Amino acid sequence: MLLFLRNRAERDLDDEIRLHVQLRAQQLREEGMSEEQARTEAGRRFGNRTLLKEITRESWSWTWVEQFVRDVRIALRALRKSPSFTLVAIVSLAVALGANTAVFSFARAILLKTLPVDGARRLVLLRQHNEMFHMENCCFTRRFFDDLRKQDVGFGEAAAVATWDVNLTGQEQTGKLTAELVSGNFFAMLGVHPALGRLIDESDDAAGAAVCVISYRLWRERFGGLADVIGRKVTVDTTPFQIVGVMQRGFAGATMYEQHDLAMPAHLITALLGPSRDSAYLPWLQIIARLRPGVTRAQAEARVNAVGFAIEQSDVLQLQLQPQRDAFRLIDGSQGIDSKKDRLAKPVLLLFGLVGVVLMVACANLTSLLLVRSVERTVEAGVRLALGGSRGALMRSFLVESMVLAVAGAIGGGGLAQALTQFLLKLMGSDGEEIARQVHPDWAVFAFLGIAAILAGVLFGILPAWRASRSDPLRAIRGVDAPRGRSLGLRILVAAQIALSLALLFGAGLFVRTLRNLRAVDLGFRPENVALLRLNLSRTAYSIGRSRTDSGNDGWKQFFENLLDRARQLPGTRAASLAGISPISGAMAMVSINLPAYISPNRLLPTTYVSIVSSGYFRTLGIPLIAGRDFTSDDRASLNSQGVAIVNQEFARKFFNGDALGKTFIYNGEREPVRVVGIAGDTHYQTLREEPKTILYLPVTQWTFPQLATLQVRFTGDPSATIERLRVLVHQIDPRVPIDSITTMDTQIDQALSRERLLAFLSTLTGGIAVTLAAIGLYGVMAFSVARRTREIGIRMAIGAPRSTILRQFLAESAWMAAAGVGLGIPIALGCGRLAASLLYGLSAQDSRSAIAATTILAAIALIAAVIPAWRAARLDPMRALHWE
Amino acid sequence: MIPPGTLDVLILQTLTARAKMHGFEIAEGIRRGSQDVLRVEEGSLYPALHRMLMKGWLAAEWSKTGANHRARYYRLTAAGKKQLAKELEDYRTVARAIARILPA
Repeated sequence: MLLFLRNRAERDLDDEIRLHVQLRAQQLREEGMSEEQARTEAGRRFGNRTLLKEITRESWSWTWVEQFVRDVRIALRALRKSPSFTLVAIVSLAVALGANTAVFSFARAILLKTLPVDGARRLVLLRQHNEMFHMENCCFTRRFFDDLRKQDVGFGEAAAVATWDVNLTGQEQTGKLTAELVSGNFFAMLGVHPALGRLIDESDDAAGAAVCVISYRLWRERFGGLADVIGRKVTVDTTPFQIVGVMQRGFAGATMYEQHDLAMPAHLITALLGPSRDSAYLPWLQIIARLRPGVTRAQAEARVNAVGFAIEQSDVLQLQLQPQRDAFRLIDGSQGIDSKKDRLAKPVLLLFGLVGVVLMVACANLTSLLLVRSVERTVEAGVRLALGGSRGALMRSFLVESMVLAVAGAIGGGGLAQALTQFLLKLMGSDGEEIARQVHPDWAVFAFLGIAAILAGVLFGILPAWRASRSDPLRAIRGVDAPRGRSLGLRILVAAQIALSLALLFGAGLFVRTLRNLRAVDLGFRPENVALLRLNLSRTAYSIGRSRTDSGNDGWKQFFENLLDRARQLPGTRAASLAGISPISGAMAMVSINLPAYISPNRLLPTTYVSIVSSGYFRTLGIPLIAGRDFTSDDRASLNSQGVAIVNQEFARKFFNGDALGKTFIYNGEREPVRVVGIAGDTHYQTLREEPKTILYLPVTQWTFPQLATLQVRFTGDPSATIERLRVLVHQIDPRVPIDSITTMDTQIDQALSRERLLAFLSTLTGGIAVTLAAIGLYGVMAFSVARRTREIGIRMAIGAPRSTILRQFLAESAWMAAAGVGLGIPIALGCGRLAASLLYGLSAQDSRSAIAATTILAAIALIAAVIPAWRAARLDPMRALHWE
Repeated sequence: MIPPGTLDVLILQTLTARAKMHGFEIAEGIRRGSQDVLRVEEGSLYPALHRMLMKGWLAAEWSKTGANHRARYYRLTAAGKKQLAKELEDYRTVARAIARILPA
């Protein structure tokens, strides 16, 4: 296009000039010259046509676009001429920009995104602190919800929701999905519209027919997107339902990270659990509400506390279970009921800080490198100025060079960000799988990349460009040195880079040591070579007609006995056992215990962790039995024999002063007391970080019905072979039982450490990158300093200064920069360490070993970076130095 | 030889005489107007014309001469008129100053 315009303009100019000459020639002929003479004279009077055309072209205004293209070409050529500089610049930019972009998409998903509904930011979730069990209750009873709705606590509207995993059986297909049970006003409150049919409303919830609505996605995938889905009958677990509507597109429940493809009225919980379940008094519903405009979360929370306790008091049964006044809390609900904000916010922000620092270091590095280059190019700049180029044009062309670098860095960074994101997701383990959906590149991420690149380009380009445009052309061409001043700016930049790198290395030291400390924690059992098979019986035939108190048919007991026996006979099995909860799985259960002799400090019944295990559990996991015996299959719960229990050492110490064998107590308000028959060693229970607490072990024979159970198998040989054998075994015994997961204990522990692993890895990576950049920056500045002062060095050597002095002098210069950097960096490092204190384990945020290690590494690398140019300076040949121009 | 910088003002002034002129006519205008004292090196007219075109002091359009040749006609814009007034004022100021120094 441009070419076309240009050609036309050129032709026009030609026409103009031709006409002029023609008219002049005509005039001359009229004055009497011959044809021949007239033309020659006219041409002569006109002047140098070519030159004039050239000068005219210069003034054309859309040559600014051409000018820009030319600037880009010049920039590319200049960059190509110094490949090492260009490579370093682009790579460090790509890494810094890519890392920042990747973390940005994470931060956005975790911190900024909300449910796709109106007023999501004003949504809150209700929680209640449970003093007795030291936990936070997520859920409330139906009665509580109904009563709360009648009160005015500052909510515009409050709805209830709970999730349930179900089997959906349609005409042809069957499949598992997660459903939501919702109160009648749930969809109305969130402002969700039906894509087809209608959604659950109040009349449905008031003991209406078994209706349900499906998500848009499910409609397209399983029901072909056809309109005949309305009115279709499906079976949810074992109950027939009728589909009455499809939710709006993009809405999949009150969740950001899962898909809840089915919704049904909350009162139908009875259909899913069985009629004997007393769901009215069971806390199972989460309450999500939207604050009224003008009401703050704190205000509503105060009102809920005032009103909630009154509601609980009116419920006598509730009172018996929770005699004390537990505080209510309102937490952010903008991300729905499974928000990851609390858990991941801090690490993500920390991460952002880390990569932000790397970006700053990269920019500082590039600024110093470019400054060095700009000083080297003063001659070029001087010539361009002398030839009539404006300072503005010069500055512009240098800035274009920076922008070209920035764009190249952005392109590389974009690709890197993708790879980095996938890698980070994998490092995050199960968390990563869940948020993967939200962490994909969209317009915001690209915008971030673009803006970051432009800002970076301007940031590191402006100073060198300005510097170059201020050069005095005369002095520059003559080759007189640039201002004698020691270029303080460059040194400050290098010192700053060193400081930031130190902070990052220190952080890396903290996180790496935290990880090592956690890995070295004595678990109390031996985790190697243990396979874990987790089964979920709640949706199988074994659970039909089941309730908490009704032990019903014993088919499941047979199943487990079978499973345990045959697992023990598998090749490679050294020991096997069953447990309700596996250690370090994140799951936990607690019961209260009633000991007349023990007074707990807060007047409440003491509580303890509990784990229901089969015989052989301790042997399988390698937990020592300090006293007494293990469970046997004879320990049956019957009306004649007394129930038995095993406790851990901490339990014995705390409640019985160490002497627990033979003692009896009541747990969980059971009718019959249990007798302690064994004391086991202390182990970690739920997480790696907590101190070993009291654990009560109960025999599996006293189980009423387990929803979840884990089979532990200590094996020899190949883990994957063992896993395969276990899978086949379950299928052989009963193919209808779904396997929740099969893994090894080592893997499970590793997963529990995924956050720490992530932090250790990333802080080390960013620290390494920052140090490398700082070293390059230091090298560059020193090399430049040596190059500029070559004559001075030559003179000094010629008049007798020994080489060692030269070497020492340049090393001292670097030492000053490094020292300044370290001096600046230590307080920054310690300050940042304090911010991360809650993420550490086993060491303080002022950990001196990490600080010393970081400083040493940095000093060593700085030394290497500085010694090379200093060495070169000392090796200069004085004659050549003096002649060098 | 025309002092540098005055070419612009001459062109602008010449264009006040007639609404539209093409390059040759402007050159002739200057020559005749100065009674043949000032002879512009004719080619140097065109860079100046194009430059002033870009600056917005002139506007141009293609048309046909009397002899049916294709020619580009230039005319003064409002900005051009303002520029002319300013330049004339500057020139007069300088001329007066010089006149004060030189003997009459």
